[in-house]
This record gives sequence, structure tokens and C-alpha cells, in this order.
Amino acid sequence: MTKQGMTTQEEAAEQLRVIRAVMERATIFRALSGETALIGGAAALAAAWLSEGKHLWAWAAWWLGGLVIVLAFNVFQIFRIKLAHKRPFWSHGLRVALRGVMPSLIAGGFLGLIFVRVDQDRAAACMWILHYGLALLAIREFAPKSMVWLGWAFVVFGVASLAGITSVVDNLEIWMKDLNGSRLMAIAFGGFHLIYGGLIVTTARREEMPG
Amino acid sequence: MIDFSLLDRTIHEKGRLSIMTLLASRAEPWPFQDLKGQLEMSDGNLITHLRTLEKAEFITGEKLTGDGRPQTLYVLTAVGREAFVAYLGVLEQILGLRK
Repeated sequence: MTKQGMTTQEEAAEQLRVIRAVMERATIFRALSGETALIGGAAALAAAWLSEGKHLWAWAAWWLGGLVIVLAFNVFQIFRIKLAHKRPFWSHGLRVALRGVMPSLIAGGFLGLIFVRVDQDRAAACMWILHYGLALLAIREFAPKSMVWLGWAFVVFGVASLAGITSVVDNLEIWMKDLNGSRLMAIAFGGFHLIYGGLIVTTARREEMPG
Repeated sequence: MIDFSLLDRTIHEKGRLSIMTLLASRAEPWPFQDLKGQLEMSDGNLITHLRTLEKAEFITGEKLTGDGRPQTLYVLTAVGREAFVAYLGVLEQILGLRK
């Protein structure tokens, strides 16, 4: 028996739409909106300019300050979107995403600070870039493809930069000679985020709300 | 020839179909409150659907009473997963997505 006024095919299509909507809402989580990426990219370029030539905690302070601003903006963005869709802020999707990203972020953040302490800003930058990429990849199972690509970009750039500054690969060392910590951070957190954010806000918007 | 009687009526109802879909989407158990938040159902409505699915042995619920608030975690059983996959298969046949 079919529902009123519906053919069996229409009913089956409707059921598949229900399944698809539930799956997308539950599984896709854009932890980083296009707008946040643009703000983050701009903040990273500003931090790079302000931290240029600085050392130790004076260098790190600009980056940590920028991080706080971007995090606050991202929380505000998620809150605003959830409010508009009448969905709870502290959702299952958000909790699962945080569980996924926290190990890499904590480890990378701590390692970076260790290198800051010994005035190795390039190594600190590599740690932050690499672990940020790993954090994004840790939630790849329910992240949009664009975020997975962003994660890989950070990981590849982080590993290559680390190889370059440790003189493991000769060719890379030549490329790295003019790159200090601020410039590495500017390329990754500034450049990659601006490209990612620009692509997200200019391409067709999909329903990729935090679950 | 498609055998429409194969469409499992327990799963076919939209509320229960949504619950089965959520439980099938992740290996982790789903707490009652998360199901409620995700599906935007009332407590009574959700409990009724969960009981129907439990009775059909498609899902199991485990009550946890730790230090915090007690909560019930739901997970799809092997029978439930099989029924869900079979249900999707019939839908695909109806829509001509599967030869």
C-alpha cells in the first residue's frame, strides 16, 4: 500500500530523500566556514607582518593572539548558523569533531611552544602547520572534500618545510633560506586559508551545516 | 519483478527510517539526547519509535548510570543492519537504480 496520492516510485524516492537528508545532516560537518577561513587567512597575513623580525614569545604572541581572534569568530559563526537553523550549539557533530581534532592540536601546539622557547620559530611554524593539517584530516570521515584537501595541503607543506629547515633535502634547503617562521606561517595559514575561503564563498553553497 | 512486500514496514515509517539511518551512519552508539536533537522529535514520539525498533530486534539500547546523568545508548544490531540494507535494496529496485 502506498501513501495517499503517491505512486510507489514517488514514495521510494521520498524515502531515499529522507535517508539522504538525515545522513548529510549527521555526517557532514564543516568545522571551518569559508568566511572564517578568509578572516583566518587575513589575520595570519597581519600576524606575519607584525611578527616579522621578532623572537621568542614576542613572535609567538602575535600568532597566539591571532588564533584567539579567529577561534572566537569561528565559534560565533557556528553559533549564528545553528541559531538560524534552530539547532543546538553543543551538538553530536561538534563533539565528535572536537574529539577528532584535539589530539593533533594539543600535541602540535605544545611542540610548537617548545621550539618557540628555544627561539626556533621555523621549527615551531612547521609543527603548527603539520599538526593543524593532521587535525583536519582526523575528521575526514565526515568533513567535506574541500576540507580534506586543505588538510593535505597543510600536511605536505609542513613536512616539506620541516625537511627543508633540517637540511634533509638539499634542494629544499635552497628554497627555505629566505623563509623564516613568519613567512612559513603566512604561506600556510594565510595563503591556504585565503584560497580555501575564496573557493568556498564563491562556489555554489551546499547544505553543509554542522550536525 | 519487484516484490513490494519485501519493503519492511517497521523501517518504512519516516521517524523509524530516520532513526535507522542515523544509527547506520556511525559505528558509535547514539545517546538518546543526541538522537532527539538530531531528529527534532518529542521524547514520547522518539521513545515509541525506539521501542518498536527494539521489539523488532533491529536496535538495542543500553542504559548507562555513571557519575553523571544516566543515559541510554542505542546501536544497530546485526539483524537491524541487514534489514536496513535489504530495505535500501528494495528502494533501489523500485527506482530502477539496481538491475
